[in-house]
Amino acid sequence: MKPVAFWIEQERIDDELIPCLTVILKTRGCWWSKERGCYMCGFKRDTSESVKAEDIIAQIEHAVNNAEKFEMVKIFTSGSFFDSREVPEWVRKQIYGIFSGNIKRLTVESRPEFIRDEILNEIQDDFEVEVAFGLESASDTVRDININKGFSFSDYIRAVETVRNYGFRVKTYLLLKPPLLTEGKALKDVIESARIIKDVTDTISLNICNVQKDTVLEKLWYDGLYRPPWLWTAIEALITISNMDIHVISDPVGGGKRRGPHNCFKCDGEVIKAIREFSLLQDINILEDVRNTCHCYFLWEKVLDLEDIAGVPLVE
Amino acid sequence: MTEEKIKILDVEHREGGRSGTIKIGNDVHFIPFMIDVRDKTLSCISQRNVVPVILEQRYPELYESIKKLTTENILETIGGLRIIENNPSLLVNTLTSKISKFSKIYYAPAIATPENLSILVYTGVDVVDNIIPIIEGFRGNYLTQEGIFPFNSLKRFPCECRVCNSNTVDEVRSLSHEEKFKLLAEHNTLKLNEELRKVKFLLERGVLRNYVEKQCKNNPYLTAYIRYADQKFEYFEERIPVFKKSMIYPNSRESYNRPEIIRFFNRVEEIYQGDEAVLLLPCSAKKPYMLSRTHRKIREWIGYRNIKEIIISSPLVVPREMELIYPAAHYDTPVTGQWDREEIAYVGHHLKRLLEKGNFKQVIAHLDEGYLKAIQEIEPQIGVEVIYTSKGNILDRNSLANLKSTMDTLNIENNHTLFKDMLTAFIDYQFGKISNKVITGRVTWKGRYPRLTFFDESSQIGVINPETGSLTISLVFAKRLLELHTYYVEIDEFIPKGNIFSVGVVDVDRRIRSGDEVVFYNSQCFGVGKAVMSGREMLEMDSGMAIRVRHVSLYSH
Repeated sequence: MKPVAFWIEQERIDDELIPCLTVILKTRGCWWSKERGCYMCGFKRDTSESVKAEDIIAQIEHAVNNAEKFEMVKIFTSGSFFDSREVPEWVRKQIYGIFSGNIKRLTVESRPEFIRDEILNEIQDDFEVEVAFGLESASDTVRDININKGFSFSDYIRAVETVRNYGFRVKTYLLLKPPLLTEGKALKDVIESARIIKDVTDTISLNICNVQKDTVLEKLWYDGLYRPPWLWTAIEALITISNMDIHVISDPVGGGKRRGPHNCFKCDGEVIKAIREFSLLQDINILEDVRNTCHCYFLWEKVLDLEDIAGVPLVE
Repeated sequence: MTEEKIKILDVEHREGGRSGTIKIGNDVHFIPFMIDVRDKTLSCISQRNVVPVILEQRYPELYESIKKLTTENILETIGGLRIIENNPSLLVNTLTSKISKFSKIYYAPAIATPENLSILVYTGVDVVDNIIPIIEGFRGNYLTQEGIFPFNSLKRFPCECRVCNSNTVDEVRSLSHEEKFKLLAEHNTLKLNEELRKVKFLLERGVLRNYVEKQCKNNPYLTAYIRYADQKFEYFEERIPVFKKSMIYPNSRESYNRPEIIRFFNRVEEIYQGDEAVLLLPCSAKKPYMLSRTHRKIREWIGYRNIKEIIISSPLVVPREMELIYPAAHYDTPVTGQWDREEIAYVGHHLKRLLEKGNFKQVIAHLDEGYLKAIQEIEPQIGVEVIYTSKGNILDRNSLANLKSTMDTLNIENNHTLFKDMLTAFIDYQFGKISNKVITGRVTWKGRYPRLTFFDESSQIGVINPETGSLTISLVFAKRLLELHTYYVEIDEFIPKGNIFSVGVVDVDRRIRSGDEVVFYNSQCFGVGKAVMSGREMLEMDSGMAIRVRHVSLYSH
């Protein structure tokens, strides 16, 4: 079985740029998405109940055998790597073995409820481990009402502390513009969230929301109740968070498309390029330079101010 | 912003929507009111959690959880209308179901434009804002009452506002984007404000609907909107005065379903009483019809025959005895002699209902042109053969002579009196069918038509008020209304010194509309006056005038 996708890209470790292998594994899927699920998550489409343990090993091997040189690995399961229903214990151990001695860092994603000592103890290898959490927002209200995430901020903190005990790195995803938050409130929420977690996470990954197929968010979008965030909002968020002296990165998935983050569709390419470059180089001037380079910036300023009153998106 | 800080001070005029004054904090504002969102002093209203109304319909669970985060008070926000703007049916349904309590102030954010404002206000929106004018300005768009135009397509400004007067298009074009957008936002806001002033002006004169029918022609969404709105007859009927001075101009298809006209037909068809025979006549430009040259000439020729008459117009069909009731003498219609099929069908339909209700044995039609087509269209359905007396032109000698001889031959035995019928019609139209309970003795009248004063034996009953198309009733009449517990307003225990305010109202007849004659009472006194509010409004509101008082009387023991 082949993985959903895999590719090599540049990543930054400390001050060095190194090639990184990213593998999107097909698993049985996130347990929460089968229960109630997050409103914006469409990753369920990449999962299958028929995936067996051996299939996961096969996917990793396929990626490793077909990829060029890499010094770092990110494994994403569209769920939780540490949930043994998705990736059984023996499979996890075998994966650690494959990379042991070959890479500098392994990044995996998990919901907080799977962070337990016996699971973290499985990793006895020489690479650095980074655990990524989809906190989305530090506000329990937003995470509960606007996202339906199903865990609390204290669940996250407990998991982060456990991970830290093992000397592992922590990466935290913050969602820019969950459903039914206006542009202005979304910007405020993500900045406030960053302020709250900046001392407990090593990296913040700004997840700029896009509209995925077969989601509650997609329905809201069809009804005109949702517009993906402006790239200007992302620029503003990245500048403010970066000024807090924290490593912040972002990949505007679907950028410049109607379903993805966009401005006026004319300036999107330049802004997306700047966000990618900044994520790699952490040079805030890249963001400052692109700010206000298109006249739709003034419209965005008004949207930011007025959408709170309107309660619905004002501009497509 | 706390509950006490926003309140309605007074509602002065009603026509679907309303005009008056509200208080926000320490400031008094006129409604309909536009919040300028650039002015942050009113952010108390705008900086609240707004829930898009459509959530409630399509995502009830999400709605319930989000709703918990909002605080609503006297000012109720109808959020997110913008996304259903192009769905007129849903927009009408949403507004007319959300706008329910007279005691609340309804704010519709981010929807108003110079083009649609009159329609929003007519539907009952009290407060709007200039969000769309600003956003459109910053998108480079130029708004007028006629719609939305890209600024880049403009050669000259078609406007006299201070922005357009002090700049040429080229000057604005040469500005920085930000400066240009700000000017466009300013112009767009001025246009909305200008429209707001106009709408208020028209509302105060009771002619907003005439304007709405004109303005809705601007685009198909607005036209569809007003057609859907007219299907909400009960909603609008309650919000439109029943008797008033303003004219109705039924100049378009939308006029046929205008609430005043539907209300007239509903009541007329409910109370109409026929006789042996009826004479159908065309309408006249002059109102009341009876004073017109045409009707006077016909009456001179045939003499006074005590025959029932129905006057055919478009879109009204008016029994002679109701020709003074609003709006039968308060409309003007374009008279060209050309009738379209829809008009003929509409008028024919209502004529048929009157003829059936009247159960006439003889129908004489002294009609020509489209009027003739209306009766011909329904003749096969009414079961009576119609006698046509016009020889082409109803006023020429042949036609009139023919009408006279036809009537002589038929030897019709009618036993009614027109002015007595008028009194009966006024009473039944205004108060429901109670004339036979209210009038017990011999009816007489004094005065010169149409300004007649009626007596029941020696007691004065009421006076026709041709200005508002209603019967102004006497204290004697009011006493009889009270005995029948009809069109009553029960008030608190006080003896009114002036007008009665809604805060003193205890109970009402829910049929009361603004403009109605009512009897008010408590255990010490009763009196008569004109309702300023509808019955439900009197109960819900705790400020504003409810009844303009004419007479008060202590009970004589």
